[in-house]
Amino acid sequence: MDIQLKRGLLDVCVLAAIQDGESYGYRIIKEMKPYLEMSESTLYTILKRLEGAGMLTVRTAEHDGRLRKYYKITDRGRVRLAEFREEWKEIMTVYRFVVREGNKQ
Amino acid sequence: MTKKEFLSALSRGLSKLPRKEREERVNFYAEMIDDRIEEGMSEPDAVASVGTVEGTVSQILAERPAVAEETPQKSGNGRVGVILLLVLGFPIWFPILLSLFVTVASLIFSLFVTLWAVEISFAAGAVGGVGTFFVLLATGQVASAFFTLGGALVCGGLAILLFFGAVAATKALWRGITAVCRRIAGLFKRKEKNNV
Repeated sequence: MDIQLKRGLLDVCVLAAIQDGESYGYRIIKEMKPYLEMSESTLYTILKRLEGAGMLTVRTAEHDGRLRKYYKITDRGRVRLAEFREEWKEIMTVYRFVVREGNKQ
Repeated sequence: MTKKEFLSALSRGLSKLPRKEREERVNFYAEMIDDRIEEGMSEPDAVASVGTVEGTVSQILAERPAVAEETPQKSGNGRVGVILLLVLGFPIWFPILLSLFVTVASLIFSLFVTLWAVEISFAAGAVGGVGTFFVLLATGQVASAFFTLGGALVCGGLAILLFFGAVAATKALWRGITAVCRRIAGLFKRKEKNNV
């Protein structure tokens, strides 16, 4: 897959994993697993990138005697998700066109 | 492999990274392993499911430049630009700022000196007038004595009235100065927060 496309998809997947409420690293990986395998280092990179872009906020809280980081989507993150849904409609239109042409040959 | 062994090996493998980033990444893996253990995995299984140290290190190092180019580096450069501009523009903005500050401060100061000078002269007029009243009375100039006493009483009344006004104005100025100082301090605090 094209690296830019993949990067964009991964960002949106992580945003989608926290859109219904705060979550933490391992839970994000687990929830995405049926759809997309993601390594810890990739997740870390994406979380950092999204935080830098103001699409999520991070807080550290104590859990079971240790510290855990929780990630929360921001309004900007929600805007990105909405944009993605719109963009994807266009991509699907193009996809259907490409598949149709392919079938003819 | 235990969690401790994995994390210290990871930290060694990432020794090229800045200390803060290295610690943050190691903590991230510690959290990942702890969460797996909490879910019921054994420690060696939890460590193994995260991956090998070598694989993790090489993946982190391979993915890192992509992060570096997109995270706050840019705003860092912007901040450097602002600082450079402030330093280069110092001969221009500093005298302007200083003269503005001195003008405002001297204006306020002179207003206050005038206010309190008038207050003190009224009070002095009242005290002096009462003194003069007795002197004139003693020398038999009764009419002049009572005229002076009247003047002294007017001065005294004005002094009392103005005293409350002057005190209120001083308090208001003090509140104003502390509010401005707090706002300036707040500006720096906010900047510090942004830096974190």
